[in-house]
Amino acid sequence: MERKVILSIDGVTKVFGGLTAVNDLSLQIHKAEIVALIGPNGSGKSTTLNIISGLYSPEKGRIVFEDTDIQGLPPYRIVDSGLRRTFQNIRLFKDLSIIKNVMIGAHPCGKANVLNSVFKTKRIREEEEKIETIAYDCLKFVGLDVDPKVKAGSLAYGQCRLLEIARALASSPRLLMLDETAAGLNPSEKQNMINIINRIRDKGISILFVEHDMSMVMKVADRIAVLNFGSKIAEGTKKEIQNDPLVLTAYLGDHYVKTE
Amino acid sequence: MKKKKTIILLIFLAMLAVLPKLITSNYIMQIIDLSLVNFIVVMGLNFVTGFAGQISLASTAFWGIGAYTSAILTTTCGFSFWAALPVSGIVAMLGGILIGYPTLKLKKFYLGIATIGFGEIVSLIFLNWTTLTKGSEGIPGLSKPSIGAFKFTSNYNFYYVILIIALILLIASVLIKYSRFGRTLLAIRNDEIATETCGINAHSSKMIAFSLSALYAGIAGSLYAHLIGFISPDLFVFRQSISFLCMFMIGGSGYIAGPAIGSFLITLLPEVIKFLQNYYMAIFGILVVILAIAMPTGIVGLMEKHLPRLYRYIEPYAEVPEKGLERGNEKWRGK
Amino acid sequence: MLELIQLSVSALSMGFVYALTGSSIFLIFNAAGVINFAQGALLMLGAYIGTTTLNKLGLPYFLAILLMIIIMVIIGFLFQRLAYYPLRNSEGLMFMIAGIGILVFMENFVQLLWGAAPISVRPLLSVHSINIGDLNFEPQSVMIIVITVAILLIENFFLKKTSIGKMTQAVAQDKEAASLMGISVPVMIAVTFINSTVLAGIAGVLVSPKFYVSIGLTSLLLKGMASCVIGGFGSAVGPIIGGIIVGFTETFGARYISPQFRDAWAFLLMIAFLMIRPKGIFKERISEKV
Repeated sequence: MERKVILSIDGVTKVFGGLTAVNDLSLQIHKAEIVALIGPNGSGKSTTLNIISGLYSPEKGRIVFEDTDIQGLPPYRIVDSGLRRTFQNIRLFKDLSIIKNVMIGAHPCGKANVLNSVFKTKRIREEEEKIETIAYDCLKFVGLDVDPKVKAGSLAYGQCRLLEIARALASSPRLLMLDETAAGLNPSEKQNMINIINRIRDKGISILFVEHDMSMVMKVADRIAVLNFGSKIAEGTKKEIQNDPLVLTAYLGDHYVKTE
Repeated sequence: MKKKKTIILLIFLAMLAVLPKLITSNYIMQIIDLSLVNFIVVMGLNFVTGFAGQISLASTAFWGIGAYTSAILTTTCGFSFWAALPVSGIVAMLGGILIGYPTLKLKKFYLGIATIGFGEIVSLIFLNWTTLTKGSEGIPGLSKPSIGAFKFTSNYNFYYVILIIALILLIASVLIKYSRFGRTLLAIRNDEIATETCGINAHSSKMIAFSLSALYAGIAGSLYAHLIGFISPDLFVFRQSISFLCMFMIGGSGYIAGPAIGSFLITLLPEVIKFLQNYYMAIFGILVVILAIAMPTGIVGLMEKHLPRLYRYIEPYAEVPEKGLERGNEKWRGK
Repeated sequence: MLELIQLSVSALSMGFVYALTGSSIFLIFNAAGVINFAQGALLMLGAYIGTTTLNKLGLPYFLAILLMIIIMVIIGFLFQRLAYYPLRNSEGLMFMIAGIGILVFMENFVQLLWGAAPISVRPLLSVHSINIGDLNFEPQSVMIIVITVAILLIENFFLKKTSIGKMTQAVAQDKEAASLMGISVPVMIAVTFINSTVLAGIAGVLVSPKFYVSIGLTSLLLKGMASCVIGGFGSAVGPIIGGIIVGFTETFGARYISPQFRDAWAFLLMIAFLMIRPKGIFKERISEKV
């Protein structure tokens, strides 16, 4: 079955000062596919996500999302195309309530501008209700069972992760990028996260996720791409990656690789 | 709860309506009028610094632009006050767009420095462009407006003009805060990068907030000019920005009730401590420091934390969680 | 031609004062990531304290300066402890607002302690003017240039050659890495603040004979900031070049275009830079980590 490619990264290179953080990276993600991006620390995984989401501009290369070139576009335009992300070090709107956090995530679902704030038409009122409903649905989807008026700053760590995902889902993205979303979670929370990721994929949303926890990657990913020092050194299914000598060297060092 | 709130609101409005009848001193009446004018400026500041978290010290400059525009239009161009008022606001707003566009693309403190610099330039223009502004002489003889045959000659009846405009602007700011646009500003204050990844053009939102603050300040400037009847360049100097900042901080940044509390307290404060006349600015300064370090959320912020029931009466649409972190309310269950 | 040279010397001297002010702002921005609006207050305080130690106490010149520096060190430490430390984790907004509050407070405070009349530091050289050939130079301008260059060289030595200086640089570049190396980050930030305060104090004292210590120092702060914006935060040389550019623009602008708008030139230039090249001449090369 030929699945449609929704994200195509082609020869992307990013240089910071003297350091090449991402080197000639090419990767494709298909519809409703879960792809894991792994590699040792400093291999360029988060940088790659930052480039795709528009926070950095690549020196070279092309990024095409659903037939649109998105490299070099500002982040808010990329979101409009259907691409959302979460952050490694959790960026929630701490002073705002949980429900407002998700409603802001649903911003692309509305059109009201500042004048509409003051001169409210029926259409605008309906839009606001729609956004609120979407927000409640997203909270329910991730299973965040907390009074929605509580400020996001009061949440426990695991709940923060869930809220970030709820916020990202609010605009019905076609591709969701998760940056170490399981970092710091206990085993039952991690299992919960795996369930959520699978449910997201069941809705037809593709997922590109950066992760360090190998067991989690093995349980969830359809395909795995391995980075080391900014370059992709391997790509394939779980089986292929597990036995790839380059991958083993990258993670464990030269002396590990058996010589035949 | 809602019915109770509505009744209290109506009583409050009624009190505002009869206030002038209770004031015997013309001087105090003027102070109240001035508080209302400051209230408008601080409401404007709330958009850019309170909601969006961008430091702006340009309020005085826009206030001055509004005042001078109104003064010049009514004296040399024969405009009526009612026409000059909105034009002053718009001219100030255009100034806001002009200075905001390049500076809001950068980190927060650039706006702070740029607004101070802008204030200095505007101040110098007021002083030196004598053909337009009459320089240090100032512009005297600014008259109060009239509707048909009735002329608002005194501080007592001009009060109603200022009050109604202030209330309209207040309602606008409540509507804005609790709208889709308002949410984007609050989000920007918390985390601008995350906001961008939610599909929001932070730069344009900040621009609008800044322009709104300029608009409000410009309108306030026009009201001020015609309230006092005379303006001169030495009113629109940097230390005035500190007064506004003080009013803004003490009330509570980002709250709806903040500007009212802050502007009345700080406008009335010098009257109460008249004997400390020389030390006003020192006191304002140290007050701002103490507020920034120890009480950054201001009086209303303290209320939110320690007196939540009172807070809910004062702050419209205040969000106070009913049950803490347990299972949510009916709406949540129903969906 | 003659006039051009004299004007240039004047411009250079003011430029160096701005450079010094700008450098003190740059130091704190680099180390702590915040802009210290209270720098103007420190300038003012330094200037007034300097005038007291120099004028009133009858001490020999260098002892008086030393005393002033010691007092500024203490003030720098107090300022960092009371104003920066409690706010170090919160959004920079509150620190900036606190800085502005301190600025305004100080303006009034100095008036209370020292009176509203502008005071002037007794000059080092009692000559009326320095003459080289047909050129007449104000001794103060020349002195400013000489002293500022000396100070900047000392700063440079301190930052690059002494171990404390190098440690403050390490903290400025990457707090986490520095602390992992065993460098005490809070101590180094305190040192940076003290360094910055002393620079500010000296700048204040230098400028006082020319401008009479008074509220004009707020304007000096702003021009110091303008120097940083124009010069850029990418290099310690930035505020210096920026300061010199401001000095020249201001002096020549005032002389040939409009004397009344003298103060405005720095800001117009700054705003122009913000529109066209916001990162300044020496751009910051490290981008913000997301």
